[in-house]
Amino acid sequence: MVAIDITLWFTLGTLGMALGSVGLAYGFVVLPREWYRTYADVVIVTLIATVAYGLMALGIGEIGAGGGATVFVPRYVDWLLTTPLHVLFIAVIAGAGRRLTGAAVGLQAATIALGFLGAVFATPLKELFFLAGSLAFVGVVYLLIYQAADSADELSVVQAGLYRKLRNFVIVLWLVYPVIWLLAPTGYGLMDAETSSLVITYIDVVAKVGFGLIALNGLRTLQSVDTDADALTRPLAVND
Amino acid sequence: MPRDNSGLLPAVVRERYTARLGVALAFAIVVMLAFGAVISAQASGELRDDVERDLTSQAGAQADHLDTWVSAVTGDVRTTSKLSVFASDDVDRIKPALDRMIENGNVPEDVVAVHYLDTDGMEFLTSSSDRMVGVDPAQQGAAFATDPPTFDNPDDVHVSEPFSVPIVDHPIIAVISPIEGADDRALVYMADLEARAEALGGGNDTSTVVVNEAGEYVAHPDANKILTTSGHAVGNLSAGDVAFGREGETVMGMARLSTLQWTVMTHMPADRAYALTSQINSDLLGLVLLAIINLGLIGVTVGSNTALSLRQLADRAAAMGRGDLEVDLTSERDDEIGSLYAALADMRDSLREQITEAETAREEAESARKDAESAREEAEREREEMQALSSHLETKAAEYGAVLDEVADGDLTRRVDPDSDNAAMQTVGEELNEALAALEATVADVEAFADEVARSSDTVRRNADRVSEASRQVGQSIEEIFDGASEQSERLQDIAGEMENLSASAQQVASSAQQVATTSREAAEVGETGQQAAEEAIAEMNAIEGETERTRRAINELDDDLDEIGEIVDLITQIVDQTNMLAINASIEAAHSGGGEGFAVVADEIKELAEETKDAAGDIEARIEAIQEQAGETVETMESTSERMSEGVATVTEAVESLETIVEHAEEADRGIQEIDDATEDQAHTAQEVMAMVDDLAAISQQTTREADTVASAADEQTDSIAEVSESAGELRQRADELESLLARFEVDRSGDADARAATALED
Repeated sequence: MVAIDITLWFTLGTLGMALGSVGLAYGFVVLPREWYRTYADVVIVTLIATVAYGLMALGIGEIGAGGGATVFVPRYVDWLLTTPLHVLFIAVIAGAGRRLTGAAVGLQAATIALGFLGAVFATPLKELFFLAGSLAFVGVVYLLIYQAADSADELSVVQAGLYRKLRNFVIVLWLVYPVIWLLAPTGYGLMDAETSSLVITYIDVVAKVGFGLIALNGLRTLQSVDTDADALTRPLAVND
Repeated sequence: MPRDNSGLLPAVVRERYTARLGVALAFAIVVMLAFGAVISAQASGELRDDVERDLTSQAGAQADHLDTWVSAVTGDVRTTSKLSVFASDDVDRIKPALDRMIENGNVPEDVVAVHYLDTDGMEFLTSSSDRMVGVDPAQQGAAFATDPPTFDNPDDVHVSEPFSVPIVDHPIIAVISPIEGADDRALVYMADLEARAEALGGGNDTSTVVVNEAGEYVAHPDANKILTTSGHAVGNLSAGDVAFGREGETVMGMARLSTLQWTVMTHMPADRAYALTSQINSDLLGLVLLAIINLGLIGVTVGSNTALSLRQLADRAAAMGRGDLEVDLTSERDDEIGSLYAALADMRDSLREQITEAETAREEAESARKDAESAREEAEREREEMQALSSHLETKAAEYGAVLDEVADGDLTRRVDPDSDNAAMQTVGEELNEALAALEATVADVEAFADEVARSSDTVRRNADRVSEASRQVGQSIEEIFDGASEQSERLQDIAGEMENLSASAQQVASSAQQVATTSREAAEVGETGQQAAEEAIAEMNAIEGETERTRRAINELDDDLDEIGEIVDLITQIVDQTNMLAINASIEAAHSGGGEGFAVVADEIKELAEETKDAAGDIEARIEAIQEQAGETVETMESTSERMSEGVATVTEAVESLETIVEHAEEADRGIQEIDDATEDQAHTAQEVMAMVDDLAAISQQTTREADTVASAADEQTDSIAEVSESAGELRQRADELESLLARFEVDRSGDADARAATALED
C-alpha cells in the first residue's frame, strides 16, 4: 500500500506533468511547422514541471524556511521559469508589443521570486515580500487584461477569443496560488504541507496541462478557421 | 432591453453571462467555505470533546488505578500488620517473613520494601531491605518519621507524603499501619514512586503526572521532577472528580484520587491533542481550494468558452441584425452552441434568401411604384398642362375677349397675341388676327373710300357750285346779252326809226353809234366772258363728269370692297363657328378630363365671344348691305347726273357756240358800229345803206335775242342740272359722311393699310 503523503502527491504530479507533456507533444503532429516555435512554449512548461516534480518526489531541494516550514526549491524554480513562459505565450497570442511582453514577463518572474523570498523569510519580511509579489502580480494582470487587450482588438475573432480564454484561465487559476500560499505552511499554516502540496500539485497540473490543451485547441481552431496563415504567423512570431 | 425574470440581480450581473456564472461560482465557493467552516467547527468541537473526554477519562482511569493501588497497599499493610508474626516482636522471625513477602511478591506493585518500625524509637527494627535495618527514618528525613502519625486503632493506616531519602535513590511513599498486638510497632510499606510513575506511563503523546495537595509532583515521567513543585493549579477538585484544563500549549485531564489528596493529571501537547482537528481543517481547506480551483476551471473553460462563443454569436447576430449577412457563422463546437451557430447560419441563409426575395419584391414594388409615380406625375403633368392650358386658354380667351371687345368697340388696330402653346388657340388667334387685319384693312379702305367719296362729292359740289355760279353768270350775261340784244334791237328799231332822223342828228347818231360801239364792245366782252364762263362750265362739267365717273367707279370699287368685306365677314362667321366648335370641344374635353371647371367657363366665354363676334359680323354685314344699297343708289344718281351733265355740256357747248357767234356778232357789231361811226359822216350819204344795215342789224339783234333766249333757257336748264348735281353731290356727301360716321367707330391704322391689304391679298 502506497503511503498517502506528500511524496505521493509529488509523484502523481510528476506523472501528470509527464503525461501532459506527452499529450501536448501531439500538438507538433497537428500544427503547422511555423508554429512549432510558439507552441514549444507550452510543452517546455510541462517538461520543466515534470522535472521539478520529479525532483520533489525524490525529496531533492527541500530547505527549511524561517517560519519552520519546508520550502521546495524546485517548485519555485519551476514557477520562475514556467509562469513567465505562459505570460509570454499569452502576450504573443494577443499580439502585444515587445515592451509590453517584456514588462509582463519580468513582473511575473518578480512575482515568483518575491513569493519565494516570502516563503523563506519569517514574519514580517514574509508579509512584505508577499505584498510586493502580489503587487507584481497585479501588474501582470493589469498588463494582460488592459494593455494586451488593445492589440488583441486588432486580431481575428478566433485569435482574440484564444487570448481572452488563456488570459482568463491563467488569471483565475493564478489567483488561487496566493491563497494557497497564505494557507500553506509557507504562509500561515492553516493547511498542512501535505494538503497544500496536494492542492498545489493539482492546480499546477491543471494550470499547465490545461493551458497547453487550451492553447493547442485554440491554435488548431485558428489554423482551421483562419485561412490567412500569414496573419497568424506574423503575430505569433513576435517572440523571435 | 428585454426584462427577464431575474430582476433581483443587479444589472451588471444580469447582463453578462460570465458575471452570472462568476456569481454562481462565487456563491458555490461561499457555500462551500461556509459549509467547510461548519464542518470544521463541528469536527473541531467533536474532536475537542473527544480529546477532553479522552484526557479526563485517562486521568480518571489513572486516578482509579492509583486509588486501587493505594487501597491495595493500605489494605495489604493493614492485613499484614495483623499477622501474628509481627506481634511477636521477634526480629528474627519477622525478618524472614518480610524478605519472603518481597521475594514472593506478596506485596502490592511497586512496594519495594517492607520495614518493621519501632515508632517509639523511630528505628527500622528490621526490614526486607538489609540496608535499611537500623536506619532511623527521621534522621533520613522520611515524612512519616519527621511528622509521625498517631494511630487510634490497629486498623488505622497512614499514607505518608512522598519523600525521598538519601539512602534510597528514588522517591518513596510510605504506608504505615500499627501492628496489632505489639505496642509502638508499625509495619511500613515503602513504594517506589518512580516505578509507580512509570507504571502510570500514559500513551505515546500523553504524560501522566500526579500532584499532591501541596502542588508537588508525586509522579512524573521525569523522575527528577518528582517532589518538585509542579506549578500546576491543583484546584479544588473533590475526591473522585475529574476535570479538563489547558495550560499554554498543553491540555490536560485531571482526576482527584478518592483515597488520597492527589490529583492525577494527564498532559498532552495541544497540537498533538488537536492534530486531527488541524488535519481535518487542513484537508477541508485543501478540499475547498480544490473545489475553488475546479470551479474556476469550469468558469474559465466551460464558462469562458460559452461566454466567448455566445458573445461572438451575439456579435454576429448583432452584425446580422445590422444587416451584415456575410458574417462567419462557423463554429468549431459540436455542442448546443455549435448547433446554435448552425441554426443561426441556417437562419442567416434563409434570411439572406428572404431578404433577397424581399429585395427583389421591394425593387419590383419600387419600380411599380415608380411607374405609378411617373404615371401619376404624367397624369398630374397632364392635369397641370390641362389646367395650364385651361388657364392659358382662359387667359387667352380673356385676352381675345378683351381684344374683340375693343374691336367691337371699334378699335380695329387691336390684335390678339396669338402666341400660345395650344396650337388650336394659336390658330384661332392667328385667324382672328388675320380676320381683324382684313376687317381693319377693309374698314380702312371703306373709310378711305368714304373719305374720297366725301372729298369727291365736295369737289363735285364745289365744282357744281362753281358751274352754277358760272351758269348764273352765263345766265346773267345772257340776260345782259338778251337785254343788250333787246336794247340793241330796240335801238336798232330806234335806229331804224331814227335813221330817218339820222341826218338830223348825225352827231347824235355818231355818239349813239359810239354808245352802241361801247355797248357792243361790252356785249362782246360780256360774250367773251360768257364764252369763257361757258367753256369753264363745260370744263367744269367735264370735270364733274370725270369726277362723277370716278365716283361711280369708286362706288363700284366700294361695292366690290363691300363684297370683299361681306366675304371677310363670312370668314369671320366661319372662324367664329370654328371657335364655337372649339369652345364646345374644349368644354367637352374639360368635362372629360374632369379637371376643368375653369376650362368649361373659358370655353363658354369663348363661345359667347364667338357669338358676339358673329352678331357683330352680322351687324357689319347688314351695314355693308345698306352701304351697298346706298352706293347703288348713289351710282344711279351719279349716272343720271352724268347723263344730265352730258346734256348740260351739250347745251353749254351750244351756248358757247352761240356765245362765240354773239361775240363774233358783237365784234362784227362793233366793227359795224365803227363802220357806222365811220359811216356816220357818210350817213347822209349812205342813209339807205344804213337803213338796210339797220334792218340787218335788227334781224341780227332779233336772232341774237332769240339765241340769247335759247342760251338763257339752256343756262337755266344747266343751272337746274348743276343744282341737281350739287344736290346729288351733297346727298352723296351726306351718305359718305354717314358712311364715315358709321366707320368712325372703327379705329384703323392708316399706316397699316398696306399690311392689311397685303394680308387681304394673302388671303385671296
